[in-house]
Amino acid sequence: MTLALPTLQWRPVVLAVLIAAGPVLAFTFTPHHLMADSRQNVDLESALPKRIGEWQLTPGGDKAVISPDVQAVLDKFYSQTLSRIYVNPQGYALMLSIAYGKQQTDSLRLHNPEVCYSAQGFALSDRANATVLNPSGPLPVKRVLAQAGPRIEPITYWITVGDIVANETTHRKWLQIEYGLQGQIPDGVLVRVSSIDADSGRAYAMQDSFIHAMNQSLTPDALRMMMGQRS
Amino acid sequence: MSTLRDTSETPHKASLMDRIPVTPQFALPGLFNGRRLAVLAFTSALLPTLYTLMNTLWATPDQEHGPIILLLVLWLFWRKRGALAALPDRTVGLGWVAVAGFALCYGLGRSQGIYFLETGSFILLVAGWLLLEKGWASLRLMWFPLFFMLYLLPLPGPVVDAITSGLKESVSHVAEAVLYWAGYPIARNGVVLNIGQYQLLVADACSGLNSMFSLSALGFLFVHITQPPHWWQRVIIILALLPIAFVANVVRVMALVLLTYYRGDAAGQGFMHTAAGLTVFVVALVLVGILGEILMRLGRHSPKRSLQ
Repeated sequence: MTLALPTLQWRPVVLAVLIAAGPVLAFTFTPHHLMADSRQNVDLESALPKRIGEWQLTPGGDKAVISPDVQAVLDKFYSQTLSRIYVNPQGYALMLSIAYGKQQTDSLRLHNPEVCYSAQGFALSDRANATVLNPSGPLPVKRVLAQAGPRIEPITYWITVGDIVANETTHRKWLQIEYGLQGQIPDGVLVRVSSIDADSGRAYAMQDSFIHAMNQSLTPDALRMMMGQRS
Repeated sequence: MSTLRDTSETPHKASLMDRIPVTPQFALPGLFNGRRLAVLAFTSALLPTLYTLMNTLWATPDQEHGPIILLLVLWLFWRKRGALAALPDRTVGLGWVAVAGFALCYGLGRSQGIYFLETGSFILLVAGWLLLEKGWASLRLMWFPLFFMLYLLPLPGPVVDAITSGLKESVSHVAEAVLYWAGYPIARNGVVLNIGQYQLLVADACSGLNSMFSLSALGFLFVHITQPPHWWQRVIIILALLPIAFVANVVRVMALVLLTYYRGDAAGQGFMHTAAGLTVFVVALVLVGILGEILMRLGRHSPKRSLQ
């Protein structure tokens, strides 16, 4: 008769170790440091001066009428929002809208304005990538023409993740993972400049000149956060 | 006898093994038994994921069907448990690769908050574990529950955004065309419908992406459970699922528009809004059932015809 030694069942143990490696990896690589915490008190209200170059904040232009239910949704997704109307000496009005999100994750992420506008019943056309040549360097932006009935609204916008401008959703996702694996939870800013103007060429020129002026009037911290640039 | 045993030995070796007294299954005592350790590790991965899903995705109206799908998946595995146990033990090495793939996907997905990867990794894990215990035969046996697990995955945001806007536009377009043809004072501008003095915005939820998602899940389940005998019956039912979901959704939007037109804004947005959604879902299910019944009847005659 053969003697049977009790042998270790190694297969199930290896299986258990492999499975457990999943949660262990997850725990090890979960980022905990909010980039937002290392920023010097981001306050959109004070970061944007009332006068930007030749553009002047209109009286009451910082009190956009937003219905309470919309505001509730905004508060859920964004840590801070700002919407203002600026006017130049010739009376040309621009709408500036900034949304700041402390955490850019799957459930809490900035949405492209395309999504919001089409959800509001706007028809979108003429999507294009463009570059605004700022004094501190080129800024990649997106342009899109929104139209609802007689209202024609050319829009220029860009989105940052951490300190980098990333206007494509996939690019933002990669950046989020890249920052995440380094232990950082990036924040994000969406800046949208638009005007109600049937002449989109003029509208974009006006918007670019406003962005130039904005670039020069921001503090270095705010510039890095909002445009991913250094002065 | 160990069930996680490599049975790919040569026949000669196997016959030798038969004479050796069977190795005790639980070489390690109590909790530290290998199989239990694996189950424990599985639970430690699953519970955090469930907790996160419950509090985020499944808490949103778009993904409310999540827990139901999970129960269905569990049931689909459960009903095949006898057949699974009856399969001979067999270890396929690829199972190790799948389980290692799970660890990587889970680790990356969970740490970086990518729900798609985190949830999807469990398909790899279950498939890998099956391969290690019962070989390829178990995958063939369990292919449907594994496939059905795909419905647990949240669609990636960009995909949702892309499909939603297109669907919304089409749904609004068809609803407007039908009501206009029926003589109602209706006009459309993008996804804004004007009827009488009311202006209605077709919201994201009305695109019907979610009802298409859950309806197609139920459709696949229907085909799998009822097992229509002819392949063409299955194909027709599967192909008909999306058009049925689309039509159901157009009906829903039209019902809400008419409700608002006749009974005012409050009626269109209140309780009836939810009720309309549910009713249309039931109607779509009934349509799938009727289609199935018709196809079954056609199927009963087709073999006779081929004999003539």
